[in-house]
Amino acid sequence: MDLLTLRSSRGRVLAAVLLAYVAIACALQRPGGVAVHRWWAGLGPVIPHDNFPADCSLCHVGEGWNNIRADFVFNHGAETGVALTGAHAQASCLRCHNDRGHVAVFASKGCSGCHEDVHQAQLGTDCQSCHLEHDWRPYGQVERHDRTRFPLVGAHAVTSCHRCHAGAEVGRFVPTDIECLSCHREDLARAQLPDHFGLGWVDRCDRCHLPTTWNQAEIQLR
Amino acid sequence: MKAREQAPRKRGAAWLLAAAFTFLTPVLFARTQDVPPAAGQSQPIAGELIVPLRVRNPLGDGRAAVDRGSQDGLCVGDDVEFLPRTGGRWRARVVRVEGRSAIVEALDTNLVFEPGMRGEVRVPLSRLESTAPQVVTEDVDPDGKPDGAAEAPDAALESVDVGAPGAPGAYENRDEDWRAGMPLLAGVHVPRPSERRSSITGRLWSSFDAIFPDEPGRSDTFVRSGIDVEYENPFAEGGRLQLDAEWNSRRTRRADEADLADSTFRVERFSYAVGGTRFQRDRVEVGRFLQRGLPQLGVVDGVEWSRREPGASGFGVSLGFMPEPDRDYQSGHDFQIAGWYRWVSDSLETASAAVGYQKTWHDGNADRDLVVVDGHYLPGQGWRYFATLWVDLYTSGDEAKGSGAEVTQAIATATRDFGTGNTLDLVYSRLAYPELDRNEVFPIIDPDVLADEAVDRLGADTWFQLMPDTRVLTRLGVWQDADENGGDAELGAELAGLFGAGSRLRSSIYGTDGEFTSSLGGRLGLGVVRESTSFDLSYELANQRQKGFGTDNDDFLHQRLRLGMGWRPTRNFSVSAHVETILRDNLSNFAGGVYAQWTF
Repeated sequence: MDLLTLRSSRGRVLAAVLLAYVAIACALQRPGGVAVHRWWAGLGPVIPHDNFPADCSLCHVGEGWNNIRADFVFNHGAETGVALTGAHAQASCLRCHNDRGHVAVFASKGCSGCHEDVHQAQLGTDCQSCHLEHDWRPYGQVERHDRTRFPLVGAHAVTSCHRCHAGAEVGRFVPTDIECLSCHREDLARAQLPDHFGLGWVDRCDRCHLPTTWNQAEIQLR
Repeated sequence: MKAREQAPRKRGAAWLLAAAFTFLTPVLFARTQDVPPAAGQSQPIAGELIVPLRVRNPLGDGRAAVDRGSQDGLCVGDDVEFLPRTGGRWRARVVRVEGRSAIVEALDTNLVFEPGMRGEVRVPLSRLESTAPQVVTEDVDPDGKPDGAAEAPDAALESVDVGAPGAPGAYENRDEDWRAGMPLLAGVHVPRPSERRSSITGRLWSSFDAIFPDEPGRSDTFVRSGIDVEYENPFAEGGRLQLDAEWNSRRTRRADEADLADSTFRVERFSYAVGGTRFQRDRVEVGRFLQRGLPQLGVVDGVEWSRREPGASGFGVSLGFMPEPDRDYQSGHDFQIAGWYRWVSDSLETASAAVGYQKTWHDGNADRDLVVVDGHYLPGQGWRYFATLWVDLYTSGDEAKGSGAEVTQAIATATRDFGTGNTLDLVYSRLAYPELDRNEVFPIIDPDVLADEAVDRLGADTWFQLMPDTRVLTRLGVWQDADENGGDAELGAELAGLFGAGSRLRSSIYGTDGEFTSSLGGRLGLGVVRESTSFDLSYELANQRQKGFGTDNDDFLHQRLRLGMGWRPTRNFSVSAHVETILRDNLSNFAGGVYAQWTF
């Protein structure tokens, strides 16, 4: 089952097949569609048309109802009271308005109404405290840590997330132990001057070390 | 007597009226030829017809849709004069024509189209001799000469199919919900998956990050590239094929030791799902995917089946191997079966409650018995609630925990939007370490910590709209674990528009009482968001105190300066970058990164 990494030859073959599949799928994509909104009939006439102009050709073009004018513009904020910002401004209508359910149901749940929660519900429902709407790259992690029992101090504030959260790249941040040795076990093994193991200094690094650097140790006589 | 005398008078008046009508009608008719036509009427002048029109819908970028088309004689390239209420005459040119509408493009950049704006276009009478409707959809250069007239009358008549699949003009009733006796517009035909086109959407992204700590000779660099693809309806049955993969490379340079370098390719999702729509209440997904019924149950390499009941409630089961949730995502060690049921109050899912159970085996040995409880209550007004619990069931074989049940994780939020920008969020969270054979807790946990540690936190965030452009933020939080307790507080304000449209100036003071460190500091930030660019500059100054140290060596000053920038040159492409430095005493760290994303 190690197929899905490149650690094995079979994994590499599978990866090559996947990439080839995507390339072929892209190449075989049927022509047509609209560059702006990429509208397609998708899941049916599920967007309310009640107050739309009677002249269908203002928006629709070509055969059937599948194509929207290339120069179609719809001010979602002005027309519906819900402004679309960031990446949502260019999303195709049917990404939200579809027959998998009423759009109000999805919207009422916030981000997780439409977006899969890759954090598996472990980080709550306030996605916007870490993510903007333009892309998913997180921001403000140092500030966010100030609201935990482990504020990022000293060298920790410029440490890559995955150094402590091994699952960070796949969206998993908890549970994470804040004891020093959880992350610095190798540093302890290398600490020979003085010999930490020999002296029995095998835990509570914070009694002697500041979080800025290992070199600023202060021996506490208690 | 009076009635007999009045009858001849009435007959005389009637004769006079008839005579007047007879003689005056030609005069009146002739007179009306001199009266300007009312709005909406065409007026012939010197071999041309002046066709009045109106703007129906501004389209942006100096374009608008008007209510006249080829059936009114319009052709691509015709000049239109608009007469807005504010005065003046403004020119535009027809760039696209259809039967009963056309698109015009302003020749004068100061012309702003408004719905209902009047205008007129001169149409040669000779053009109208051909009564055939035209469909011309080619764009032309608005500065070019009219050429639609040459193509229009004959080209044309590729009629628009309005739903008749058979012979031209034939009509087939496809409104399956309509029955005789129902109102005419009772229902419409909803395209079935087999009638829909396939579609591919997704994104490609790439990032580069570097960290230069103050340790001499050391640096960390990270390169990541990934692709997310969603292929909708690939087999004309309404399914979705999804791929989410990433290539990832790290390098750490060290002064006195060999560099550390590693790269890997990871598939986070590769699955095909079908169903779960109005046509198919059963949904099946196979491959590698995050479980849909209850995402708390995690990612599986396997299959999930679920059924949506008519009232929107549903249930499902899944089985498969669970990848280890780290960078390598190795699978094959942990097998799981799971089932869940979700009750939903109504079609709008105002209230929902779900319970799920998951049983796992690690390398063939029984490992985890997990119960997940999840729910929400989302009324249209007032408080909104979300809550989810992870409850681990232990047996006597679990040495650290002992037999019994334990809430290993919980999150509950209550949010109230008071309108006009005032909000209050309350959050409670609990986190303990479940006893697992599976590699899920990182890194290795001390057995005592595993047995006893649990962190509870209660937080409250408020946003208060002090003035139309000023918001006040307050945050308070308290936490408690097996050894310590502490908390955090922040008070800040945000001013919008102080440095122009799209700008926000932020300032706050904050304090944190952590497990090892306490901080007291302030932050100042300025963000500006334009249509295609953005930047954010922030500065942080804090005194950080290390607990347990002597008074002469426990305080150190921390400064952090960060500049972030974003650029979105097109709708589908964006780039963002940041640089950051952290200064304390005589030490400094630098970090920076670039991220690019292309959506398709």
